[in-house]
Amino acid sequence: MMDGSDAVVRLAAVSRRFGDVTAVDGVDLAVPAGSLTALLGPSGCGKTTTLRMIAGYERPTAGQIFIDGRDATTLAPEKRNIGMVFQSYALFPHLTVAKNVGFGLKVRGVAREEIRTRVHAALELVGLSDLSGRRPRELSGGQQQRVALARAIAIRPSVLLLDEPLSNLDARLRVQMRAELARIQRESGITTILVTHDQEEALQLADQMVILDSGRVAQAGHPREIFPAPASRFVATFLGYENFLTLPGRGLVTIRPEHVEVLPESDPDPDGGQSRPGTISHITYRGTDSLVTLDVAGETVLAAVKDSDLREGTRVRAVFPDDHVVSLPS
Amino acid sequence: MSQSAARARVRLARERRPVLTVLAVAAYLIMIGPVIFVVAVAFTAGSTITFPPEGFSLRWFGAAADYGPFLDGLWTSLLVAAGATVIALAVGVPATLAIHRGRLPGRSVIQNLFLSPIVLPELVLGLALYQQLMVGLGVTASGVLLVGHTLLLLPYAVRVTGASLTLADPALEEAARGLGAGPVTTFFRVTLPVLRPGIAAAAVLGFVTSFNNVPLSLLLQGSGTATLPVAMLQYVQTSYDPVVAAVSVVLLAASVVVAVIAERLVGFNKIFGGIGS
Ligand SMILES: Nc1ncnc2c1ncn2[C@@H]1O[C@H](COP(=O)(O)OP(=O)(O)OP(=O)(O)O)[C@@H](O)[C@H]1O
Ligand SMILES: [Mg+2]
Repeated sequence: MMDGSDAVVRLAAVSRRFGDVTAVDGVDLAVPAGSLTALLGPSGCGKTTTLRMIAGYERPTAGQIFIDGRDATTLAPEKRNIGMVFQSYALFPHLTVAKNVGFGLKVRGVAREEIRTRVHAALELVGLSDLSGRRPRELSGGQQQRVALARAIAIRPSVLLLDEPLSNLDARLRVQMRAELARIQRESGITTILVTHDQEEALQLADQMVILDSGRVAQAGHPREIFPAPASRFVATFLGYENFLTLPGRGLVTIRPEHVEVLPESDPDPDGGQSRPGTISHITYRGTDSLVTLDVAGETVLAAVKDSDLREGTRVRAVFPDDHVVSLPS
Repeated sequence: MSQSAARARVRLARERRPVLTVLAVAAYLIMIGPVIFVVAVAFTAGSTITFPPEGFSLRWFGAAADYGPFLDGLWTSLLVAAGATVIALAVGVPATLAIHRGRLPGRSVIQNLFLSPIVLPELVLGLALYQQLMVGLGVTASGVLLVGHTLLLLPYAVRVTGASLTLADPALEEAARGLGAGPVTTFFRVTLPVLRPGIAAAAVLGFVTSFNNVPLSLLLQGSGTATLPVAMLQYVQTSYDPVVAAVSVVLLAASVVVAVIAERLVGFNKIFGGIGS
């Protein structure tokens, strides 16, 4: 499906080495126009480096980068027409909000009248039009981030790059900004690449999810394709599949705790699933459910259950419904 | 300084308040006492340095203004301080940028080179310059004085602007580039404005340091290149009257004005906050 013909950004076997460290290792990636692609992975897997190569702040040591169909591998950042929102926001402290947002237009020589209109439109989009006279230090973290976003959008970039845009915000603001971000991206229709290590963020926002493992693409695709069908133990772990076990006839499999059912030991084997007898070794109450730790023939199995009348030490039957069991390469 | 260390210090201050208060008052008295003495003597109507002063007059200010060497010295001091400050910044700011932002090999060596005058005794520096430039190369006395003061100020220029550069987010320049500004535009529209408080602080500090310097100025003085502090020093060696006190009061007033302007422009915490880091 991704031949890269309509891709705004395309990476072809891109690598970046820092001395002995290979931060990015042969990454192929195509970002379709208007889509939101999330680069996802644990710390140090090369997300930021990939983004910085697309923006032109780092040169690939191998491979090519195409932007709008042009080879941009060695192009200077100012020639790429890319809007980047930095993790630190990087707002110019000596300029007002309006001047920050208008900076990219001004250095491009856009007429003053048009700058004013476009700055206003960008601030309107992020909901900050009444703060245009303020300095960055007079803004809250969430507001600074919106300004950074408006500044990046104002230049009408070919692609918007966001490096962990929500990680500096507190939990409540993060959820709010995530929805905001989705709205802004939808309304502006700007092709966007988002770096995050938060799988929930990626699942909610992305049209395409790219999971990186030590600089390589571990799996890529729509969240709805990837989430129910992780292709490797690494991806499964990253997406919160916590149980890994070997089932007869299926080999190594994984299943999410919320899909493991816990039944009384005396119940018969249900249709469409396998089951194992085990003992409840621990129960952690989590509000909406309880996380039950089961000892199944020496292996630990986690099950998230709504049912609260289970007791530690009870003999039970752990059921793995076929629909939710994902086979992994062993 | 780490936050916990700062908190510990505050706690300490609170616990030992009486002792600290006494010490603080004593320190202020020791600092301000001589200043009050000098100010009082400057306005005396008598002709000797006595305390309390005999009557009130402005005659010693008039005498100071009429005394040629002081006026020449003031002029020399102002020129040298201004010239040395400008040159030190012109050399120091690009050097700082190269040290912090460039990918220079051996940048710690370069940094140490720029900071070395601060640990070098001024007399050694003065003597070396005297030997090499004045005697060896025949550079004029005022030229050597300017070079000497520039070297004296260079560490301040590198240190203070370096401190504000360290505090500035390196992503600022990248952000400017990403928004379409080339390296030159980025330098003038972002790097320099962000550094402006640091540069202003370095300028004030440099000017005051040069203006007040005695050892280097004394060693490098030639005919007609005595700075004001040197002229004052030479004056008190021969005469003992309130003229010097009057000059001191003028300098004091000027310092207060400079301090107020500096505070308005950048704020003291920026100026002195920059030195420690
Ligand atoms: N300028 C650099 N010099 C040397 N090594 C670097 C440099 N930048 C990144 N690396 C290394 O490359 C690897 C990938 O770093 P990168 O910043 O891309 O990771 P990341 O996925 O963004 O991680 P995080 O989630 O922690 O931000 C790391 O091992 C890092 O130490
Ligand atoms: Mg990163």
